[in-house]
Amino acid sequence: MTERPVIDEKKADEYRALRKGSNELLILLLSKYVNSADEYMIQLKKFYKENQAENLLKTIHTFKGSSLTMGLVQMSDLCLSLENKLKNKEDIDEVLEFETLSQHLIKVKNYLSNLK
Amino acid sequence: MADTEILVAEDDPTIRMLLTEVLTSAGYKVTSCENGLEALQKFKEKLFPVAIIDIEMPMMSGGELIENIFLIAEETIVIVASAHSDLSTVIDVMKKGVYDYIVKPMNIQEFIIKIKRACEAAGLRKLKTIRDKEKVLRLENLISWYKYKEKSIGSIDTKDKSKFHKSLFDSLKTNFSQGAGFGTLVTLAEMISYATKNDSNQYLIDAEIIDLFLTNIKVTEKALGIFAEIDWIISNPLKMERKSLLDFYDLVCEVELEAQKYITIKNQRIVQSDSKPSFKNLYLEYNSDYMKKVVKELMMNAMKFSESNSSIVCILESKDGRMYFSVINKPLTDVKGNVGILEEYQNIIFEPFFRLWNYMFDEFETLDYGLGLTLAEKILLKHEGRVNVTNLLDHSDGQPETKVEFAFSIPTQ
Repeated sequence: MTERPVIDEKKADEYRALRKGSNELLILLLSKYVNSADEYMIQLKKFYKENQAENLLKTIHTFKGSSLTMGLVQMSDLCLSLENKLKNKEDIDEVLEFETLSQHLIKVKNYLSNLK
Repeated sequence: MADTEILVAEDDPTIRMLLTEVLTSAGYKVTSCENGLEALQKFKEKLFPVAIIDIEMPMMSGGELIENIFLIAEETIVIVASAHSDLSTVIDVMKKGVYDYIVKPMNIQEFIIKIKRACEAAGLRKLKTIRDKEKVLRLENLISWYKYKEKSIGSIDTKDKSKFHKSLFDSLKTNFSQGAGFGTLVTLAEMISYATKNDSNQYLIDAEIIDLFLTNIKVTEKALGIFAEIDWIISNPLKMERKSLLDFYDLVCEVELEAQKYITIKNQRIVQSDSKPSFKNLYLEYNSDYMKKVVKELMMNAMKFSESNSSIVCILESKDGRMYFSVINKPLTDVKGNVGILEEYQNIIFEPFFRLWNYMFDEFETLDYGLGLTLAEKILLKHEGRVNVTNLLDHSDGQPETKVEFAFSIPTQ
C-alpha cells in the first residue's frame, strides 16, 4: 500500500502559481506553519494536562484549519479525528494521539527541508 | 475596486500570511489582526468596507466581532472564513447578516472572485448609505424651516422687543443662508399683519419691524440676482474664448491678488503652483468673467472655512486632455468634531442654499446664501467641466492631516 503524500500537490501548485511557479511562497508559508504547529503542540499537551477541554478543542480546530489550508492531508485528518473525539467527549490516548501528530509534523519539516 | 481596504481577522499565522499575500497580490490594501479584539480596535480607528473574519479566535470570537462591527457600520461587507463545515454553524453566522461564507481550505481563484464581488457590493452599499444620509439631510433642512416658522410666529407676543428682534434677525440671516429666505420673508409679512393695529384706516407698524422687513427685502433681492444669473447661465450659451493655459494661470493670479484683501482676516496665505513652459502651448475655451467667478468662489470658500494661520494651496496642471485646478485648504473643525466634508455632504454641497455652517462670514463681504457653489457648478457645466470635493490626508508635515480639496477640470485642446 502506498503512503499518502505529506502535502496535496494540487494545493502546493496553487501557491506556486502565486509566485510564478517558484517554491518561494510555499516555503514561506510552510515555515510559518511549522513554527505555529510547534506552538500548537505545546498548547495541546498543556491544555490536556490541565483538563481545559474548551481550549483544547479550539486549538485543535485552529491546527486543523491551518493544516487544511496548507494541503497537509495527513495532519489535517489527524486533527479532524482528534477534534471529533473531543467534541463527542470520547477518551483520547494522549501518548498515541500526540505522538502521531508529532511524527507527522516531522514529515512536514522534512518536506520543507527538501524544498529549500 | 482593487484598492479597497480589507480587514483580515485570523488567529492562525499561516492563514493570515496567505490571505495577506493573496489579497495584496490582487491589489487590495490589507490590515491583518490575530484576534477579534485587535480587529475591533482597528475597525474603530478606520471603517473598512470589507472584513474577512475567522469564527474561532481568542480574546473575542468572530461572532462577537461581527456583531460589534455591524453596530458601528451596518453597511460593512463581512465574509466569514472558517474550517467549520457543520451546517448549524454556517446558518448561525449567516443570520448575523454576513455577506458570504468561505470554507477552509479555500480555492485561491474562487476566493479572489468572491472578494472582487464583495468589494463591488461594498461600493454599492456605500453609495446607498450616502444617498440615504443625503435624503435625511434634505428632510432635516425642511423640518428646520417649519420649526423655525412655528417658533417665530409663536413668539410674536414677546415683551422684550429688542431681544426678540435681535434674535429674530440673527435667525433670519441664518435661515436665508439655509435656503428658507423667501419663506422667511413671507413669515415676516405674516408677523407684520399680526403686529399692526388698525386706527382710522391707518396701520401703525413698529419701525423696527419695517426696518427688519426692508433689510430682508434687500437680502432677497441679492438672492434673486444670483438666481437670475444661474438661470441665465443654464438657459444661454456662454461666449467662449480660445486661450492658453498660461492665460488661465494669469487669471488665477489676478483672483489671488484680489483675495489678498481678505487674507489678513485669518492671517492665511495663498500658495500657488508654478507656471510650466508647456502652459503656453496648451489651449482651452472658456469665458474669462465667469471662470474668474468660479476661481474666486473656491478661493474665498477655502479662506472662510480654513483655520487661521493656514495655507491655501492652489494647483494648476494639465493631464489626459484636461486642465485641472484645485484648491486645498486645512478645514475648521465643526461643532460635532468633524474635520473635512463628510461623504454624505460631498454631493449636496453643490445644491442651492445648502450650507455646512450656519455662521455668516460678514468680514469676507460675501453673501453666504449657499448659492456660490451652485453658480460655480453651473458655470463649469457650460465648459464641459467637472467639479468635486474630497477630503485628503496630507502627510507632508509628518503627522497626517485632513485637508479639503475642491477641484475642477475642463478639456484642453
